[in-house]
Amino acid sequence: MCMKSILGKNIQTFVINMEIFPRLHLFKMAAPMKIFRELRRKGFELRHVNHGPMPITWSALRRPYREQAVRYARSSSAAAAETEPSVQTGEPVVQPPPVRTIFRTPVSNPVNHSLEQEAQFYTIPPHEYKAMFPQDHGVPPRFKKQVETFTEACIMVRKPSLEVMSYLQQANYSHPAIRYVFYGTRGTGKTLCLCHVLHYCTKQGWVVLFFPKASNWVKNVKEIQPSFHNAERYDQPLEAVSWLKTFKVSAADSIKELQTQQKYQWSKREATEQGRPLLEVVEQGITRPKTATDCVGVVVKELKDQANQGRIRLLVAVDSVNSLFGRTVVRKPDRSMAYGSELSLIYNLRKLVRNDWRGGAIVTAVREAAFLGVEGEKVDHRRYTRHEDNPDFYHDIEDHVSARAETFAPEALLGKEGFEYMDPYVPVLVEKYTEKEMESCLDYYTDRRWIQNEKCWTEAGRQQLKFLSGYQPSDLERICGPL
Amino acid sequence: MFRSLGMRGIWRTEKDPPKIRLIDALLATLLALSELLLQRKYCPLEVAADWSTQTASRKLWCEIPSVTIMAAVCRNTFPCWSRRLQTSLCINYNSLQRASSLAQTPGNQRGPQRGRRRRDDGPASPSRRPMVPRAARMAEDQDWPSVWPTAATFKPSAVPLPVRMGFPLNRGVQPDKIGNNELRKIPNFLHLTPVAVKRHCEVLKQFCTDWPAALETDESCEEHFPLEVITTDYVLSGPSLRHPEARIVTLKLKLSQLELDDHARKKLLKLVGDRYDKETDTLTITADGCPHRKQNYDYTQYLLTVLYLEAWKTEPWEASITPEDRDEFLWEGSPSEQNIVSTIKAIQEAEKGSSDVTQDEIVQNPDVQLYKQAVVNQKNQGEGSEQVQGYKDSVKRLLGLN
Repeated sequence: MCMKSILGKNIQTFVINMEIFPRLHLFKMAAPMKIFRELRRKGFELRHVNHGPMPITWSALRRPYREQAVRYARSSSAAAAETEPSVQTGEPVVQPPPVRTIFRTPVSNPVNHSLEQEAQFYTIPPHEYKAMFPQDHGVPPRFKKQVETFTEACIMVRKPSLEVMSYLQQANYSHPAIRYVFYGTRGTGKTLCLCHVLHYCTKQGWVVLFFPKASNWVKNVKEIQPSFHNAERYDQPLEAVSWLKTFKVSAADSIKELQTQQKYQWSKREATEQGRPLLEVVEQGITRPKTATDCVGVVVKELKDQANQGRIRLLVAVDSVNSLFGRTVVRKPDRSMAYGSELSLIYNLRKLVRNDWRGGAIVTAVREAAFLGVEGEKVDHRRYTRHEDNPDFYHDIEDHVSARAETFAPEALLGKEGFEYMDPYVPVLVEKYTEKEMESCLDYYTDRRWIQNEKCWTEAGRQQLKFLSGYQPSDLERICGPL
Repeated sequence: MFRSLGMRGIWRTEKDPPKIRLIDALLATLLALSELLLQRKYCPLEVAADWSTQTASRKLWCEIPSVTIMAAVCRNTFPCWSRRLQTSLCINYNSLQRASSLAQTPGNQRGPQRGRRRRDDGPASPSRRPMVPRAARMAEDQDWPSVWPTAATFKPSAVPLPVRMGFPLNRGVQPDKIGNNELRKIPNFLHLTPVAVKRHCEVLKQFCTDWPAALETDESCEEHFPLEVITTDYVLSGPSLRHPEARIVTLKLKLSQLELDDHARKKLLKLVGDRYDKETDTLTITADGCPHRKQNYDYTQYLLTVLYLEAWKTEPWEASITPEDRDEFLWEGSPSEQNIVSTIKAIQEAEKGSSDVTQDEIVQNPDVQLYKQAVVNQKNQGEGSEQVQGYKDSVKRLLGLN
């Protein structure tokens, strides 16, 4: 009895050779499980994981898997790799094979990036990286670790960011600011595309207002206090101070000439007069956390005005913009949940993503993890609120989330309120790696010795890595971790 | 019988016993067989002559066309002069069928052998020999409806199918049909094979009338008989002929068959709720509240009438409908429209210094119409990749990007 005759389709059986990835299952069971599911959706049947030499059982004998199996041949690593004697021991050290494609570009200025550099890695100069992302504030946690390990910040030049950069070039800045929304499934690199655009605008001399992970302001909030001037709203001093600190570093150059346009009264005694440098307002917020949230509001308002008058170009970059709308998981003093617009920070941020100002652009990304569900839907918030910053700690959180129907489309994630607020926007899809990008990424990891197992340098090993990751950037990074 | 053949005399000499013994045994059994054949009116195919009740006996097999004769001769009897030879004839009635379908007999096929009985010779007694199951003996072109004429519990020996069922243990395969209780638990339809159904139909045909010529296609059926009433009759052997489920009446109707305008249709959909299936455009009304079928049927008719009449009424409170109450997204008057109007006004102000176009002019712009269609598609048809792409294209066109 042939399975083909019963099911009417040819079942392809893949055999993952555990000899090449011996400890894979110990590290990230989530990633292979995800791949299993993915493959099953595609119509492949993943029958059998070969754990090396196995005792022959009846069930193994009955399955004519030799005919069906696509078996990756055992890689002959010794032949492929060059051997050089190491200095210390004199023993030959296996070197990775020379990479075949050009995976790195020397063009470090994103202004000069074009389709020529597509799928190549460019290096952000270290001082610019430190200025843009002080204390790695805003980059994805896995990328942060990668930057530490490789001692360089390399981002792949990808089509979505190039697309947005071309829009930014051709846009008319006397028109209302245009909103761009990066969207895509988890782990496809939306945030890194945002960082790329951020770098582009920084190099152009724009003032950049970067709000990384706005979802952190509606979840995991340590403390709130009633607003100084509006009893309806609540301040988040800690978040505001930390944002002001990073803003002070990242925008120090671009806003140093700017001056306040009116007098701001912080308290009975403290005030910032008209015509003072804007940095003074930032300083005020950092030294007086009580006023920090209002300072953020003032900075936002001032920069918006200045951009309207054409003095500066303003980039508003908001990651996980969908958390600005709808409900939050912040408890007010009366134990009820605060609504998004009741939090001063969110309120100010929402004013920024409105297109009632000109002289700038709004680049955002929506995230599934920031999605708190639609109104009335019964959801377990803890699933989405915990471990968001530290996905390593609970590696199956992705599985939990993807157990739901996949919603990554921007309109669904923004919700009704968000769509009414953001509309019209330009959605930009961030997809999985293409073949070219995958090759480039594998070359980069090999070059950085992130992939040390010599079996993975061979063509067979690379094929397996592609197969296991399913061309998903974050999965590839995770799978390559223990190799 | 044996005495007349002089068997005792022959066996007295120990020198060359087997040849004579064999012949004598054959003759004896043949005689017995012929008698049996004459007296009784059936045709036994295996006739066993057993001279002994001893265990270690030796079998001699002779193949005669259509007759298998087994002579088992006990070695221990050779030296016993005084012991009386016991003759028994075992006739296996089942072997009648067996021989017609089976070319092989179980056990050793190598013919008569000397020495002790071998392990693969099979049991000495033919009654102990394993029977070949009935299913294996079935002809391929047999008449299955007569093998399995009525509903019956699964019987492995009568079903010539490699059926398996149950939980595979020890990483093996599912248990097969023999001794499988799971297969006995479930109902089977082995009596309702296509052939059997066809025969039933052939028989029932004489009681049927011809199908109306005007109702050849499904479409014409739906056109002439838009109402579909579904009831179920139960035939059962029990103390009562009444079945409680028989009262339930289901009414099905394509909504396109009703005469409804836009308002009436939407109101009807609101009224019926989940009784309407969007995919097939079918309204299903089920009534089971009353004890009798007739009452339930009347109730469905009443419900349908009331629904239709109510749908055509326009109540004064219907004017206060909100966008949330609507099932589909209406772009006119939505925040999306206000957004796009204000954006385009701002763009024109930036270009000309002032904007004097009215909202209607903006909305009538073909680009805005395209955008409107994209938003409506996205809201009403769900966010597939085409819808998002359509929305993106229309927004890019409006904002002058490419």
